[in-house]
Amino acid sequence: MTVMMENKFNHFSDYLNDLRKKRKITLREFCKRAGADAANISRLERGGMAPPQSRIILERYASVLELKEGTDDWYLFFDLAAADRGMIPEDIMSDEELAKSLPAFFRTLRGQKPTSEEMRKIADKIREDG
Amino acid sequence: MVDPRDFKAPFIPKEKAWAAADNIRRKYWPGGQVPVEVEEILWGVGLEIEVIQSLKAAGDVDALLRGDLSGIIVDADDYMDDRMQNRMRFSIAHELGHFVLHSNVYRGIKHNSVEEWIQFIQAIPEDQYSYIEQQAYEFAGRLLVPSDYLKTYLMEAADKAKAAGFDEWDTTGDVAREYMASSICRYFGVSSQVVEKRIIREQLWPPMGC
Repeated sequence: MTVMMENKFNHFSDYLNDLRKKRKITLREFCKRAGADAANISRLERGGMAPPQSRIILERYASVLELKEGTDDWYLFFDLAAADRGMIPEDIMSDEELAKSLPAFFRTLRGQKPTSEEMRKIADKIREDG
Repeated sequence: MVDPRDFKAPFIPKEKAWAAADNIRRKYWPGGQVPVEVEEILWGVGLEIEVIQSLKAAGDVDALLRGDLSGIIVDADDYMDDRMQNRMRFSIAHELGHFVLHSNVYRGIKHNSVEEWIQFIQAIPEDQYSYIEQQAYEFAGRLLVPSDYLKTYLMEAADKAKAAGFDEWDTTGDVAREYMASSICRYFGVSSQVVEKRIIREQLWPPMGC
């Protein structure tokens, strides 16, 4: 039996993000070690995706985060994952919400202001994935 | 709402951008070693890295600071590609530069729709847009290539060249500088162009005593 201990984390996403930073593991490093997709882990940490169903995958994540089996941290990690598994990600952002979070200044790799068409594509990408 | 045609970049001399970079590095990368792990600095200032697929394909960019200052978005493939790490480190540092130097500018700009956002950005005068970008470049270069390390590594490289018999610092200016930059850039995890620019901007050429 596992008991949810008192903790400051309500969601798996926050706990994963916090553990990773405490261990000073960058997102990139975490994904390399865990064999995970960076876009998915990024989305998972932002609460935009439910935790994985697979125990094997979760154990791999726990191992990268140096969690020891049987410890309170270990149980919390798996309990939060189970609790959030049925989570339904938030709806796609409205146009107004999206507009607030769009970048103010950015240069294209060719060193010029982006075209209107490129800006529309960037907005679509951020709406879809961000 | 600011009329984009009247938009003026804040005046931030390079010394001020450098001082801001030095302060942030000291505070959030206290060991001070190079290469600077810029992602750890983001944690300190409360910014998240957000990785999304095909950002570069969509808009020919590899990193962006969100307008609500909540995070820096990067292209997934470049972020994970070992060959792109130097470039990615600099791009993230550049966006951090916008966060540190231009937060007030960002807060003063609000859009209600994607089309309004596009019209605003397109209407900003190119020169003002360029100043903003240059300020972020100055910040990023100084953050990742700390002045004291640059002087030390440059002197070490110059001493080696002198010991090997090289003494044409004046007549081979650009070539010798490019060579030196490419020989020390690996310490900083940035491209040789970034290091060469730091050498020029900090007036370290020719190396002292050469």
